[in-house]
Amino acid sequence: MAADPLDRAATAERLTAIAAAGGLSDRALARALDLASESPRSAEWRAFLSRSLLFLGSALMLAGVIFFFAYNWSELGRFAKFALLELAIAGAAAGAWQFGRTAAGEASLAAAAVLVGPLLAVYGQTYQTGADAWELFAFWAVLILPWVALARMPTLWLLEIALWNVALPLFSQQRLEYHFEEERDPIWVTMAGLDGAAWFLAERLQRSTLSWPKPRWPIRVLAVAAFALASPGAIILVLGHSSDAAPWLGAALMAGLAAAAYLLSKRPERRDLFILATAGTAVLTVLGCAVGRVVFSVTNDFGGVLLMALVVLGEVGALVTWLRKMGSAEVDEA
Amino acid sequence: MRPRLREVVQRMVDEGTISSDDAASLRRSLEKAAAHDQSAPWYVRLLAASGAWISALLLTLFLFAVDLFKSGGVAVAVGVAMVAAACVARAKVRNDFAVQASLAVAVAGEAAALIGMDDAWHLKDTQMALAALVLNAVVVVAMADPVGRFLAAAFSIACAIFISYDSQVLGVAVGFILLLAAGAAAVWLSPPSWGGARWRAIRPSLGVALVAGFLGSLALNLAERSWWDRSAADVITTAGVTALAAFLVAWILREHRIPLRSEPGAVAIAGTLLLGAVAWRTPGILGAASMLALGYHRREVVLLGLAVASFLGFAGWYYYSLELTLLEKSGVLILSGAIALGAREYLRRRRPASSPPPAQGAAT
Repeated sequence: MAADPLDRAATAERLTAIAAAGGLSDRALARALDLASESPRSAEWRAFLSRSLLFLGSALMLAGVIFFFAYNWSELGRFAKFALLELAIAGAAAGAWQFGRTAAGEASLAAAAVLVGPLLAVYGQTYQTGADAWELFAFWAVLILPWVALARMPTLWLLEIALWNVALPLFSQQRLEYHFEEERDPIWVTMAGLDGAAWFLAERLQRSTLSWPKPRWPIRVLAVAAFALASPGAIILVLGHSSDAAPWLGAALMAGLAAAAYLLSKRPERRDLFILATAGTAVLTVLGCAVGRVVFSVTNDFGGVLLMALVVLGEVGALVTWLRKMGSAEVDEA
Repeated sequence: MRPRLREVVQRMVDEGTISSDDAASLRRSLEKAAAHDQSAPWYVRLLAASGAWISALLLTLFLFAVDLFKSGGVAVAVGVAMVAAACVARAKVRNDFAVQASLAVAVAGEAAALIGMDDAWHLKDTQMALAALVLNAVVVVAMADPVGRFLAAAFSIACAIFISYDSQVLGVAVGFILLLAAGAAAVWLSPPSWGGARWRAIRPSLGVALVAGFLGSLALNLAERSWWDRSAADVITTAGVTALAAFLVAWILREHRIPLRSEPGAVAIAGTLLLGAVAWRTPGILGAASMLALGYHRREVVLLGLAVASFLGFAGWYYYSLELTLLEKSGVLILSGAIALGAREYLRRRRPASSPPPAQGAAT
């Protein structure tokens, strides 16, 4: 990424603004608008269709396999079930070996990792192990960890973290007997910490010299999850509904996440406006709740409503202004 | 998705639309242009729209809570005046606070006017929807803001969908869904350079709202429809959506100078028709796939996002609603997956054709 204005996306608004500033004649503007929205070339279409069909085909096949075993077909013996699943896993792993670091190879490895879950489910179903649901997800996550670690595939890491995001709340409910809606339940902040740590680590890895793939979307998913899970604790705290430790931890974590988002974006060439927007929205939501609490405690309801309308206007206006300022140096994706 | 300014400028220099001196002059104008550049990523626009809506909701609540309007007529007058003032103000201001305020005042003014109309004239639901449609259609033209235009266009289209459903006439409801699809295709397939400055400014907001309206009405189509024959509705909708999808594919092929009678052309059209036939009970699948192609064709990331989310939702619904056992569904899913992977393999094995740039002005 670079801060050269010519490296910014050729949006219709931008081209129109350039024309208004005298940089393009009417004829040149018309041509520029058409070029900026021109259909991608045939090779790009082929790549787009190829990836879409690969994703769709893999997802449908995996869903089909999961449905097949969910049916618990009684006419199929237990060994046949295990054999089918293990063959599918072995086949997918062999496919990953064969195709290597291509989209097909990555899809095969992801399929192999996903199929470990149904294998564990069939094991539990067959032998009635009495294991809790959290154990299935935790073992699933542990068993695929070697693949995940070796593959250097962001999607697989996302699957690994998603499995822990399912296993942890189930553990909290089934072993610690917390209820998910309870304020004292530390599970929200635990998951926010896990996702936040994964986000931070992913950012560090992407900035290292390692030859990791560079897609931003898995990192953005982690950041959104971290902020979304840390926010409830901070909101409960500012609304003054709890004296438990979990909301304090949530608020502290959110402050830490927001600071991390800001510090990670200090250098324009490494700036991710999406993550800054996520962080800003989370912070302003908590601030809005805090201001609302103060406003409605000192004024009557009608005046408070008007004041809150102005507060929201001010908050969002400030955030949009700040994002525009931060984004002026970023190569946007419009 | 979108090409960079550098690529566009280079293409224009290469083809002789501008000279190297013009390109240098363009570079010098960039700083000045930045002050008037309204470009923003979709999430910043979503944030601005959400802020405007929440503020407008609170503002409307305040206006009615303090009993400011003694009669519905006053509320209508004040509401319309607020909308007009907001449109005028938005055309003059650049500051983000003022922009947010003008958006919020416009939405609150609309709410006040509509509530006032209901209070003064006790309108029926359809009449209220029609009034809202007209008011918002005016805002689409008058409000010089992409977020404001999108909000107004989306609300206007939602009102029109409501009116078409409320008619309880199958032809009207289904016809309107197809009209939305045709409208979305017409807006996005028309050359971006076509029309005057105002149309160029309206086009993206209206186009996204039409696509959202089309996909939303297809989703609504799956919900409760006690007053019509479900099978007939599905057949008519699917036939219309399939025809539109085939037209869209043919258009894209034409821009890429691929004859319909060539192997890729025939396969693309046959695949589209096959998808329409197989998923005839869920026309949303082909509808979303069409919008996906349209979004990629025009390099519109918002369209792509809407289409992908809708496609996943419709596909999930399709398999969920199949009246089959889990075992049979698993067979259908595996077969569908195999067909998708087979199609990919076909694509992969085809010798990559030389890829000339799409036909210039083919859309015109």
